[in-house]
Amino acid sequence: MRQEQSIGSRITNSQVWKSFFRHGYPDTERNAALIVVSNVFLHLHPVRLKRHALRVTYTFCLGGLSFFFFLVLTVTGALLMFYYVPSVNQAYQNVRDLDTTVSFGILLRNMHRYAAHAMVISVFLHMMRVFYTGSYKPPREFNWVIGVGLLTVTFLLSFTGYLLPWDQLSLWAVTVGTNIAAATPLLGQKVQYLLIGGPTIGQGALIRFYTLHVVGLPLVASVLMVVHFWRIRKDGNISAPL
Amino acid sequence: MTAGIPSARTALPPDAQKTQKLLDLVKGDRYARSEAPERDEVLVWPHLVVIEAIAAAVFLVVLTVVSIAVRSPLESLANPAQTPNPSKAPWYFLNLQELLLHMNVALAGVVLPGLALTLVATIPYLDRDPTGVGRYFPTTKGKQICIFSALYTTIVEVGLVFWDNTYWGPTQLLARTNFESLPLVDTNKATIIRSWIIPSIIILVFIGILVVTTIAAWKPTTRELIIALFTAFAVSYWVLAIIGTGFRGESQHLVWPWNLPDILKPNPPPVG
Ligand code: HEM
Repeated sequence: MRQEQSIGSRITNSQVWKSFFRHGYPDTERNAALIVVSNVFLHLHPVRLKRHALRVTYTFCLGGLSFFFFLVLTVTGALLMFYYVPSVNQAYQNVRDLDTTVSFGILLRNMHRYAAHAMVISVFLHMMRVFYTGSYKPPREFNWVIGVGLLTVTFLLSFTGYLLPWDQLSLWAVTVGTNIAAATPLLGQKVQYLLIGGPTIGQGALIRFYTLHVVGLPLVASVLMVVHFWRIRKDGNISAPL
Repeated sequence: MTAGIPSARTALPPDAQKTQKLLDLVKGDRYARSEAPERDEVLVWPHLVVIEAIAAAVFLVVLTVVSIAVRSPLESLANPAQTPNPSKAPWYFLNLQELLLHMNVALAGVVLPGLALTLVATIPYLDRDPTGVGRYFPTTKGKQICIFSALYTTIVEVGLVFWDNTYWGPTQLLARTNFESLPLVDTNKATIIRSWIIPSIIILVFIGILVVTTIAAWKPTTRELIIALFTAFAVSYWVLAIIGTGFRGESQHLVWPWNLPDILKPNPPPVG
């Protein structure tokens, strides 16, 4: 018994342990505060919060859920990239292989697809909750604008991903979409050419959508989210009745 | 504030030795802490972190279960030579595709959504009243206006979709009207009248009715008027997306969801 205790405390007192965990177990106020400020992930949060902010029926967790879906999409998306080649000759077969032969491939693909749908829904509903609680009012005006940017990027991320399976569904859905872009007054044809890299949807469009989907738009979304979260902290954490 | 400094200086006694210099302006804390921070504040660890962890776990489980149970669609290889009927955009754009059936492509797909998003982004600069933050519907009027706007928008849009589906609906009516016979109107102008001007007027009229009714019935504040408009926007997004997803079959004809063509049914059988 004494032996065990001393092994335990020898571990938690060792230099290795203390360099990893810079505070004791967070069961005291001091340690609970330290864990939030000394951990890079947790420090997105303030140390203390109004009790009001915890009510699930206030935020319905929608902002957090949007972020959660984004993380799921990042992880499953990175795994999908191991199997997917953005070439009109291979893409469709790669996705079929995911569905039929790759271990857990179908699960991976389904999770990525449903999380993408879910993210569109949760981001839109999050915007609605922010609106109906008046949470865009000073000093949060700018964060609302950032939010509209995030909504747009979320749509674009989802839309660029839609082409990648290279089946009839993706080809024609994206055709409908880019035909709309082609109708932009004055710039239409140019916009369409820029988007799909040719007169019709082919290899040019696939590689553009792929690059935007896996690099460009996720980067933009990440930067906007960093700003969004930073602003929430700077604007006095989430809104509450005065 | 700075304007006040010189006058403060002149007010000093002539023999004053020490003067104060204004180094910086520190804005007051607008979100003044309540008198007893201990009472209504809690530690983020564990109170918030626990909620986040539970939410993440629950949704991870739900997502995994759904992903095991429901198969994503994968149709045959993309074939530019064979257009499926109907061809549909992803569901979250079907509201735009629905608009497309009733007006010019650019108006439906670029101008209206662009305008809507721009207006949404400017909401905080239109509604300048800083009160009423942190609760759903701080005013009863606001809540009534929201419900009214949601019902109005749903009824008007469903109505318009049905109306435009008939012989006497705007699209068919306009197609029969011979604008070309009017003086100074050529084919181009006639198209502009049919697909840009009249649809825009119809939209503006229905938004106008919403605004005027709201003003007449409630004498709303700016915030409450914006509630009417934002609600109309959000409800339109969902109502039109639902119509586009569940009620448009072959050649975009109106159908009941159970009569949708097979290629639009969810959960397809496994390929090959
Ligand atoms: C990828 C998309 C988004 C993510 C990940 C995200 C994330 C978050 C999170 C985690 C919060 C904290 C409170 C909460 O959960 O409700 C928040 C608050 C906020 N979000 Fe978003 N958001 C996104 C999109 C948007 C959009 C589309 C808007 C509005 C157009 C918006 C406007 C705001 C504002 C104004 C706040 C502060 C609300 C308050 O103080 O109560 N966000 N967001």
